[in-house]
Amino acid sequence: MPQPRRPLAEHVQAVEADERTPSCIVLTIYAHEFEAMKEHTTQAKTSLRSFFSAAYAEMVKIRKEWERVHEGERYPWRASPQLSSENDDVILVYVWLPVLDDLDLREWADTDSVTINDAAYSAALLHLASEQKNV
Amino acid sequence: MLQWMEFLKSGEKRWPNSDDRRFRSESIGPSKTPILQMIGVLLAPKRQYQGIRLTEAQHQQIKSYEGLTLRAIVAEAYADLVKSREAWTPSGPFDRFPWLGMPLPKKNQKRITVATLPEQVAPLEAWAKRDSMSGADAYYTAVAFWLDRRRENPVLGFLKCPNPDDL
Repeated sequence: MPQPRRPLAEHVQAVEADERTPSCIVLTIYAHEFEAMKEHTTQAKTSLRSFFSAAYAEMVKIRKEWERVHEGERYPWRASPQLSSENDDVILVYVWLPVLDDLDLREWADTDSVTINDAAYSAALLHLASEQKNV
Repeated sequence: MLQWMEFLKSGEKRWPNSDDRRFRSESIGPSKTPILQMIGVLLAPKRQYQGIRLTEAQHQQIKSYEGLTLRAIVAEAYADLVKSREAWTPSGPFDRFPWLGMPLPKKNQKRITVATLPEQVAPLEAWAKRDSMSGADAYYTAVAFWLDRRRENPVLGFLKCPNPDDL
């Protein structure tokens, strides 16, 4: 029997309540991935804000390098998971989207016609993977 | 009725007792029998129409395959992706099948509309659902990987999921 859909608010975790500003985006992500990010920042004694800043900066670098190697090709942005009443592991989080000094993530997302959600998710996962490797 | 069923199964074009007045008014064979045509239409699986947004380069590549229909390409792409997804295993706790995000309806991309059969789409959608992916992203991923594998210099290299040609 299908489970009743949970109220949206229950899915939502705010990174920091005061960060619900226009510079924030709502990211759909697997809860276990987000937990791993939180765990990593706790261990590294940094903030989630720093984590996402580093993730976006790394993503922008990778996207720029991609442009150099595969000129005119669309970067393979990962699709972010969707909220579903059948999958409790997918949650929404408010995350900070910093404006970087160079061409920022939002502009690359626009160039490749991808949602900022998918771009931010790609960035966060890439950064998590590289941080896990470094541990 | 039983006799009529036997006749349908036999594949014969003409009713054996064509002098029989009961059947004289009916023309026999799928191209001549409106009733059979109607039954065929009713029983045929209904096609679904899907819109898939592609980049201009992907669109040009699809157009270059003159011997292949769009329908055939998409059917093969979906089947390939299902095979890859079935064979894929995560290498770590955060490893996920590389579903790709479909381009937004903006500049630099084209939309194709393709008719598919439910049996072609259902396995792909089942995997997409299991991975919390939208159907649109799943269709795009299938077509993007299919096209990439057929390029002279693959760009995606099928990322980290198995190439169905190697399975």
